[in-house]
Amino acid sequence: MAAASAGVDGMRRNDRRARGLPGYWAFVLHRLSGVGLALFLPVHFWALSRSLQGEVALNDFLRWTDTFLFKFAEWGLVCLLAAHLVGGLRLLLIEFGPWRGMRMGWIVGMLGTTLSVAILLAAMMMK
Amino acid sequence: MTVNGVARWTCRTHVSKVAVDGVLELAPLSNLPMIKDLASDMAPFFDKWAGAKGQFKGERSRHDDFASVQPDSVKRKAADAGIECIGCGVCYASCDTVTWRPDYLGPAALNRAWTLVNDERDVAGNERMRAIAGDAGCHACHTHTSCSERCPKGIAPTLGISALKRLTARAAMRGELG
Amino acid sequence: MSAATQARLWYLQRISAMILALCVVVHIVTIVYAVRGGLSGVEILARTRGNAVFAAFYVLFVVSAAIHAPIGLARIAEEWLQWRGRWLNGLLLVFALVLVAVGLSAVWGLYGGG
Repeated sequence: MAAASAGVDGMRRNDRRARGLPGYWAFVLHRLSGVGLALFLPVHFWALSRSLQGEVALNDFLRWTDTFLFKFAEWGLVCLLAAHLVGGLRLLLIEFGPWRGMRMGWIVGMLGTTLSVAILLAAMMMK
Repeated sequence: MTVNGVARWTCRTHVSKVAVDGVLELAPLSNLPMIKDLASDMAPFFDKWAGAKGQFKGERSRHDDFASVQPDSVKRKAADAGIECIGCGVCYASCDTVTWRPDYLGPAALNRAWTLVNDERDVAGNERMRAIAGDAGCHACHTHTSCSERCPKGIAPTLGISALKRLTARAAMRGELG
Repeated sequence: MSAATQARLWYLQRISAMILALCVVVHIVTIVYAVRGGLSGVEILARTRGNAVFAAFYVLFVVSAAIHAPIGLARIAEEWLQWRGRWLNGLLLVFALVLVAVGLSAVWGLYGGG
């Protein structure tokens, strides 16, 4: 990633200015949540494929799901999903929908939805 | 030039408006090779302009009638929204995707292509679509929107690029891009 | 990879995104509803065994994810790791196939195989 200092050929790179713009941070959140989800997905599929060995194997695996670490990871992943989904919808609207500018409201929506999901899910899981 | 980290027109920016605590830092425009001191080499910028088929190509000669273009047609309005570009390079210097992908054509070249795609008189159609599609073209854009935020003329390259993404992708799906 | 192919990949990524948006909403709502009382293997399998609607839905889900995720990762590798070259596309395809294989085996296992 570009840094604030001079690059390899002494060329001043992008400095910090895109860093101050909301559109850039929406992109970063969207990209990082996507990476997190992409890394999680194979694990998720593999866990469920344990069911191929029948109920006993699935139950065995599900015992792992009672640990705090697992529940925290699960919570984190649903939050990433919420962020990625809303950010993605914003992009789809910009790219395929009628032109209404940069859809800044959706960036707020992205953060709001993620926060709401984070709080609600945590509350539900802690019951 | 880059003024306190932001690409700006130094000929039109008041020092009082951008100097923070009386500090002003000038640097050459980003994403371009530096010639020396504060001068950037704009050649790659304009090479990409040409690479995006940013030249108008018509088929009428002086012996033909004038083309009749409705000023309030959808296409003409789309073209008009982008033609005020003076090629200053602020959008190009503000784009992180240009930094990450040295072959990315960039917002100015793609905006120019968009104005020509909407120009009814232009006949370079398919050639231009082929030039601007793909990861060196419009599909590399991640909608950071820095270009549209920084353009001193209020042009929104994001708009044109989003539309070009759709147009060229659909053409590719139909096998028209080869 | 030609520009036309790159354009097609972009298009597939966006279409799969639209499908995933719908699938994810349905999935999360279903999971949250189903997990309220706790999650046991018997309970999951009771819902999924022999359930053709479940199977069809999740096959669509798995295939869409297998298209969407690798394309996104390839772009990130090109931009932030500066990986270039045809081997990257090979890697992309391998990752997609892994997702399809493991994902479909999960669906099959839950539907009634094994």
